[in-house]
Amino acid sequence: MKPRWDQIRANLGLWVLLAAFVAALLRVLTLQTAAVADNKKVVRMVHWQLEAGIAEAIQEVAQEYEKRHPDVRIEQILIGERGYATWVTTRLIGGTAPEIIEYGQVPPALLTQLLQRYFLPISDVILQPNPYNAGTELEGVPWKNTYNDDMSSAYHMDLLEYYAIPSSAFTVRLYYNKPLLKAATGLDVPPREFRAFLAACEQIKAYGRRTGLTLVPIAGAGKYNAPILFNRFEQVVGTTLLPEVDVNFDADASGEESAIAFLNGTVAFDDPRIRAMFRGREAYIEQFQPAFFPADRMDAAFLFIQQRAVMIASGSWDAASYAKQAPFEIGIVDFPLPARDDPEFGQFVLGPAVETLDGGFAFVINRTAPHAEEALDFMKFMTSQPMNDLLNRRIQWVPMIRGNAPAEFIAPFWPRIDGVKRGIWLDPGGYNWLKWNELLALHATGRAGFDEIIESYRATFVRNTDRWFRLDRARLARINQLQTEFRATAERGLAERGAGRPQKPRIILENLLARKYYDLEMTARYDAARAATRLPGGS
Amino acid sequence: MALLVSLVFSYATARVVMMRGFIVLMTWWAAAGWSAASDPLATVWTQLRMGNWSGAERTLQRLLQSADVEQLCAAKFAEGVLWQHRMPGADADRAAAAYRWVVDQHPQSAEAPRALLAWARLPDLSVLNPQPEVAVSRYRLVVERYPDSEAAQEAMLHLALGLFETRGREGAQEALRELEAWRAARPAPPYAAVQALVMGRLALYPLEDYRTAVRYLVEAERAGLQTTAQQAAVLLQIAQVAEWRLGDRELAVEYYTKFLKQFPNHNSTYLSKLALQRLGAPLPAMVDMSLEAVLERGRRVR
Repeated sequence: MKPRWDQIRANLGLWVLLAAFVAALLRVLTLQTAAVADNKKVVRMVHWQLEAGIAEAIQEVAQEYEKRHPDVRIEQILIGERGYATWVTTRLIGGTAPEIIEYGQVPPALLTQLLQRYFLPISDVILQPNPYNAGTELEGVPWKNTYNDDMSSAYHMDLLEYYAIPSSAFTVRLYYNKPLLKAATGLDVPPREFRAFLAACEQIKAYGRRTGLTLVPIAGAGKYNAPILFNRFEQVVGTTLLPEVDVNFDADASGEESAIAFLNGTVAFDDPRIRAMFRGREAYIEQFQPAFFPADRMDAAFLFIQQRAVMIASGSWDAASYAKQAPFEIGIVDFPLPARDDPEFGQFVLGPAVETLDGGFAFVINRTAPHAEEALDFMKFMTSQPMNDLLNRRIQWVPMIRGNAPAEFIAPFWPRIDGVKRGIWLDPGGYNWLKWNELLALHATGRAGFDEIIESYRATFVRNTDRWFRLDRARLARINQLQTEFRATAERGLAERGAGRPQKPRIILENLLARKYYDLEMTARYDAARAATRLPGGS
Repeated sequence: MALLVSLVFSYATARVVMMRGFIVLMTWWAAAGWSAASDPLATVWTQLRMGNWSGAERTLQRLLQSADVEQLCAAKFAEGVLWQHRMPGADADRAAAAYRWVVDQHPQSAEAPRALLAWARLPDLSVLNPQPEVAVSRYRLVVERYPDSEAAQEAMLHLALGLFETRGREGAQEALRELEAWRAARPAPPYAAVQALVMGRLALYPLEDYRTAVRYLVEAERAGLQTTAQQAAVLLQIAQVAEWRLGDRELAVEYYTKFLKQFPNHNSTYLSKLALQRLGAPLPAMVDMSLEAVLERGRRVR
């Protein structure tokens, strides 16, 4: 017997391999058999939403659909974010990808290629009414116009087609622990005015000291939750820089315009509004836990859930998870805003920060899959007014279909359309971005103050901006021109053979010329600013 | 023995898994074959658009044997596109040769103006060694040889930007003059909106002739721009230049209002509302997208 056991042990690896093969084969056969056993058309749907309740909510919608279409079965496949792009890409290339695929995670350049090859353009379909809106106020309305944003966020600017079908909108807000806030400050809601908010934070710290609790006002993570607060504050106090920076009058401050404004001295690095941005940043840093900078998203979330932080800034995508995990009642509010009469910031504030009403949680249809038609029909069903309402109420996300209101708990996440834009970019171009973030890390960890940061940043600004503007940006602009030209030519070739939409080449040409002009304008303005700059390294 | 069993199982597994992909692939090939049979040039353009370079090359090989001059020229032009874009820069000479073949061998063919423009664009589109001066002289050639073609319309626009690129302010002035003369000879061209857009932008910068800029931008807006991005940008440019540079309150109010009506959910909506308040003008009637209004509408729906 002994030699036989030794023989098995010697070939153990091979046996394990064989067992794995058998298991895999059985699994495949079982799935294939199940798929054909009930003679139903199986529409598979893959997404990366592993958060609590999402798959269940989709399942509820799917069951409603299956009641109306007994010959169809909807199956969900859940893949984690980390492996999602690889999974989808390999399945598409192998011809085994599901019918419905959540849109995203794949790098943009690859996504464009995949969209062209595998996914169904829906530009014509969305001009027709969604039949599942029959009997609602949206009956007869083109599918596109049943969305709050008229599906504008689903439009692919490079391919000039609609592909994605969104369901929800996402924004960021401040979550807070209701009972703990009440106990520490006596308040039911964190103050909306910035100074009063900071005072409440001081009360929270004092409460922690008094009760012996390890308690901080806000849970921060250096690269996730903290920048949400910093960016909002910067947008609000920097918006009056917009008329100075926006040289082409399009009501937008671009990276190029920001670089030019710094170079020609229109905006100084120590401008009071930029100083105000840092003051806001410092005020927030004082409310985070010590050593917040290296903390990640999960660290901050644990701090909040474990009641060691009263507040946390995060997105609406976390609402259901927080609500499920937190052993306390959660409230959600908009970010605090300096009052108009605030002695330090008030003169710079024109209003709260604007948000866009963009659709997310979007899916695309794989036109090479066996049941693409049924898949499109299911997506119409899922984005009908009643089902979009059901889905978002279950998931606790903001609905995108007109007439649907967010659930009470999630309502504060409704996007704010009336708000101010960012007035300047402080880190235009890759090299400045690296330097700036290096300096912000020093600032966040208390190793450099505003004046030191500005001095260090000024010293390298010209050199770094030159490298960006004259090398990387210029080359990228030329690559974009070449690619756009190719698309225009191919679309024209198709349109002339009656195989494409005739207006597409003109749309692409308009984009191409507008972009080319913009690049030329900014280059000319940059050269002029560069010649006149008084910044170090400018001569 | 174990190895043999493993191999058999591997093969069987692969067959089962691949079956579906195989069916899809066959369907696709059949569809592609049917499309090719109906119009092989449409197939070539589809293959090019999808980056299927070798497929396009194979299809073109057949078409390049065609006895039909128009089809041959169209195939040669597509071949030029293939060489130009498959490995940008590497086969630029072959691309140029293909385009030139169409122009030189069949100058009266339908494809010739477009081929000449594609050849003219080559030095402008070079990533590593752009030569806008060379491109400018070639654009003029397109305009002279085929003045009534759509390619000439497009060449004039590239020429205008090329003049600005190579000679700055002076070039922009010349570009405006040439485009004006061109338009006078050919009213209502197919590219009227984008032509006015280019002229408006050049007048705005580097010429800083704000009144002329606004005139052209208004024209572009009325002629109907194709993209919402440009529509929004042009409305805001007219309104802001009118307010800040021309002091033309009436025009500014008209265009801020137009912007708000056309783009009620844009991220510049609030700034436009502030501008109308600043100018003492009433806000247009808009759908209220505030949370309170949305909740109220939601209650009605439910």
